[in-house]
Amino acid sequence: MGIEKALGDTIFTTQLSKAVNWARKWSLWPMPFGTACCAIEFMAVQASRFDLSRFGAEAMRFSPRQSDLMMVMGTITRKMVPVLRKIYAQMAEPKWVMAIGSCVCSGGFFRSYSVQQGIDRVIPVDVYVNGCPPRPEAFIKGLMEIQKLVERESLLDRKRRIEEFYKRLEQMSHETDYKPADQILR
Amino acid sequence: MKQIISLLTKYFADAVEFKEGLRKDSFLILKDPSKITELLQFLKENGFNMLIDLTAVHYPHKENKFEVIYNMLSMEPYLRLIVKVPLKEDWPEIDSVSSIYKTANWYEREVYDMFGIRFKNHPNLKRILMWDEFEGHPLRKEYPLEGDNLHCHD
Ligand code: SF4
Repeated sequence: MGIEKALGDTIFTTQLSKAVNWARKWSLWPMPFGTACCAIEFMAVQASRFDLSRFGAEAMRFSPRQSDLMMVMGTITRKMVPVLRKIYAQMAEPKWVMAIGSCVCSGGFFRSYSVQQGIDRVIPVDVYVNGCPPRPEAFIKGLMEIQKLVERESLLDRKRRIEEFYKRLEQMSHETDYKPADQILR
Repeated sequence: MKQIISLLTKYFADAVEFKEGLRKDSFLILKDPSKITELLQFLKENGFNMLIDLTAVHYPHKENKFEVIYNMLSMEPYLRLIVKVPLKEDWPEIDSVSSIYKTANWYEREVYDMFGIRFKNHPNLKRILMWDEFEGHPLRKEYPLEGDNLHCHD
C-alpha cells in the first residue's frame, strides 16, 4: 500500500479487528474453575516445566469479572451446575470456555445421577481437552486451539455461534425422553 | 453375643431370626417391621450404645422389595450386630428411630432422599443430599442411570 511505500518498514497496515484479535490472543486471562483432580494437573501446567506464561496466559484471575477464558477442570456435580452458570454469566464478554478432562467433557466415568454429563449441556464450550487427567501438553494444545479461535473468529461470528448454541439447548430440553422415576412407577 | 441372642429370642420370639455372616458377624433379621423401635430400644438398653449406620437396599425382583439395615455397635463388651428389616411394599413406611438414637435423624433423611422410604414420626423428613425440587429417588433401581442432565435447577 501507499503509506508503507513512503515510510518503509516502520509502519504496518491491517484491519482493526485483526489487530485486536491478535492482541487478545496473546493476553488471555484465564479463570481456573478447578473442582477436582484435573486442577491438580493444572498446577504443573503453570509451573516452570511447562510454563503457561509462554502463551501469555499466566495471569490467573480468581475473579470471573477480570478474566476472559474459563478453564473448567474437574468433576462438575449437578449441584455445582448453578454455580458454574452463575460464574460464566459474571464473566465479561468476550469470553471463552475450555472443558478440560473427561469429567467436564462428558461426565467421564461418573455415569451417575449426581454428575453433570458434560458441561456442554449447560454453557457453550469452545475447546475440549480429553484425558483423565490430560497431560500438560494437552492443556497447552487446548490453549493454542483457543488462541487460534480467538484470532480467527470475529466477535459477531462468535455471538451468532453462541446464540445458536442456546437455541439448540432449548430444543434439546423439549425433546428429551427423560421421565422421573416416580412417574414411571405410579 | 450368645447372651444377647438368647435374650432377644426370649423377648421377640418368632419376630427375629439370626444368621451368621461371612466374617463371623451376626445378622439379625426382623420379620415384623412394626417392632423396630421396640427392638432398638431393647438393644440400646443392653449395651448397643451406638448406631453406626442406617441404610437401605433396593431389590426390585425379590419378594421383599426393600431392606433397611441398621449397623449397631456395643463398646462394652465389644460386639457388632447388623439388623435387617425387609419391607414388602413399593413405597414402604417404617417407624423412625431418631427418638432413640439422635444420629438416625440424618441417616433417615438420607434413606428417604435416596430410596423414598418414609419414616413415621420423624421430626423433619425432607431431602438431605439432593435439592428440594429434585424429582425421584436416585438409588431406586428404576431410576434412570444418568438421571435428568438437561434441565438445570436454578
Ligand atoms: S477427568 Fe479424571 S483427573 Fe479430571 S477431574 Fe475427572 S476424574 Fe479427575
